[in-house]
Amino acid sequence: MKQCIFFLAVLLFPFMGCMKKEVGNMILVKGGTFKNKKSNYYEKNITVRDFYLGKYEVTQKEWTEIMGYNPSKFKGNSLPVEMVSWYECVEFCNRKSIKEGFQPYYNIDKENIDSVNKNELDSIKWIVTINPNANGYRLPTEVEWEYAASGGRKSRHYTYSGSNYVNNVAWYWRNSGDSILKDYWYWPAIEKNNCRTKPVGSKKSNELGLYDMSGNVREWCEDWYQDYNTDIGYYRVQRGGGWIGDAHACVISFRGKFEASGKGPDQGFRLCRSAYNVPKN
Amino acid sequence: MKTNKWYLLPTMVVCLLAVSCSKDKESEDIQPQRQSHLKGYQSGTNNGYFWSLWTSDGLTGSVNYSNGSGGNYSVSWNCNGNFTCGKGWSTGSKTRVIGYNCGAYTHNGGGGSFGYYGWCRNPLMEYYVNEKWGPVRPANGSSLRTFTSDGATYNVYTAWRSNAPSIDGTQSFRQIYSTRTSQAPTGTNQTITFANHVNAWAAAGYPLGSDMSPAAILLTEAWGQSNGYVNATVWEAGSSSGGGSSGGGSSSYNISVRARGTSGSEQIRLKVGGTTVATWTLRTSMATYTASTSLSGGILVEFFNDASGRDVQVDYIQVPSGTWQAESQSYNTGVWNGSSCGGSNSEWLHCNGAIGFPAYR
Repeated sequence: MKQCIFFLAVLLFPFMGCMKKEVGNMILVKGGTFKNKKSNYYEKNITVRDFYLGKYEVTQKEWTEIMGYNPSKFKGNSLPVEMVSWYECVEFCNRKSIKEGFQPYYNIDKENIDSVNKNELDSIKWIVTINPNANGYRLPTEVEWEYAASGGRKSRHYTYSGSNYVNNVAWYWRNSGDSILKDYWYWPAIEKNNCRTKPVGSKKSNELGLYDMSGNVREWCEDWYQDYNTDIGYYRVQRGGGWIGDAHACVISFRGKFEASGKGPDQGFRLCRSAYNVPKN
Repeated sequence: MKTNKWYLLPTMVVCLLAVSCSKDKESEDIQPQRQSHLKGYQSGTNNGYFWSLWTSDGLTGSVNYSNGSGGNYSVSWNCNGNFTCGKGWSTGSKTRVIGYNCGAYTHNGGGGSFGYYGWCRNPLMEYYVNEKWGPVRPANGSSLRTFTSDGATYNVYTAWRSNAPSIDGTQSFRQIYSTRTSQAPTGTNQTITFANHVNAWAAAGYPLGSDMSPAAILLTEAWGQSNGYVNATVWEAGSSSGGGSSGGGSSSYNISVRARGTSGSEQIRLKVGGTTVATWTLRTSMATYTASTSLSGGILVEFFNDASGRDVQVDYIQVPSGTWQAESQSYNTGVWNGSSCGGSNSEWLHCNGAIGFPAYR
């Protein structure tokens, strides 16, 4: 038996060494097709490639170290950064990549106006393109985000990321304040109850070891939002729900949208990095 | 219409939820009164009507709201801050005809208005039909459109509200509103054919969302340092034939054509989507000819019995969303251009041909 195990270990060793399952606070999400039956992409013949995804939402400490300022409404090193626009987040990704010796994933042209961007509220409209083979930090695509939130290969078909019970995994309007709120969603009551963001990773993780994929802050994704009556160029995708919204927004399949320049005390993000075709340093 | 009025979003979402999910929470026949340092929101049903009172954080002074008989309510106030109140329905509707009588209206100082108000979702929008107002007429920039409805002329305005809390989290949403060019009279029964507003907003490029489930009320709103008194009654005055902003099913709508012929023998056809809806023989003086249809598609006014001495002059057509002037249309196959028939931007049809107008539906 021991010989057998040794033989297997020798066989598997070269593959085990290829990619680390966790690098810093980035978890390797092994690719595949969607297993979670509650996903928008279940049985849609979509295959996701391997990628690294932040174990936690980006914290204010991480943000401030890179950007030198903290825009968050609720201050705290271990709290997720919020009040960050999509533009600031892609800039953060590039700055962090450069600082850590990775290749910047985004090309950010601040001088010209993005003609694709038709959102009336967005006065920034930087032209942001990607370097698909760069190994630097980036935002997850919507498909990657949902794949990870739904548990990837290890999915147990949860409604929320890591549970069928929202309170187990998510900070949202009912449970993010001084006391548990009942009845109906009502903003003055939420404000009065001091509802707010919570330290990252303080709820149960999902099947992949990712925290706060449901609730706490909504997370920017890279893509333009698109559906049957919304063309690209109006909104960027945000997913996962946050402490302001109701449980429906914390469901793994809920598709949120927000103008790229939009900011809110429940709007943050999570880092991603490609784990394929990464040139060696 | 106040610019930082994001809090009305949750207010109206709450209206919906409060009524649909928490009926046991509704208070019947409550006569809420708010005194100094007001904060909060109350809603309920009274005589079958939904009512609500919302006061802003930090409002000081007094707001006294009372439900009366039927759809009647009154509110008197002397305060510094923002409040909204009113009576109406727990759900909105694109086809509701709102009847109301504003028996008393005094509004001094600050800003605010009186009218029909609500929310829709998909996309999230806040809408107003402003019938009366305080010192400042509700408007934002230049009017997107002018139309007539219920005997009054309205201008359409729009604005964005950015980064406001909602049940989906922080969101931005559009406000769309119609404001009368002059205030509605006090003490007479009035109607608001809401479909006409819905259609005018859609024609201006801002169709309401598909989800009209949030509440809609005959609103009184004030902000800033103000005082006043409103006594008003609301009722359901029927359902309009105008239908929704699009895809209004088989409901019919009216098209009126104002035209004349030079000889009195001219005949014109009204076509919608290629189908003849009506045929009229014109008088020599301008007159209005009206037809009802449920068809969709481009609208044509066609002159078809041209002969010596016969010409047709078309002033305009009216559809529920507004008035289309003939001379503003680029499609005209019957105007004499000096050498042949066909041109644009003319009231005249000198030859057999038609003036094309945009589709209403």
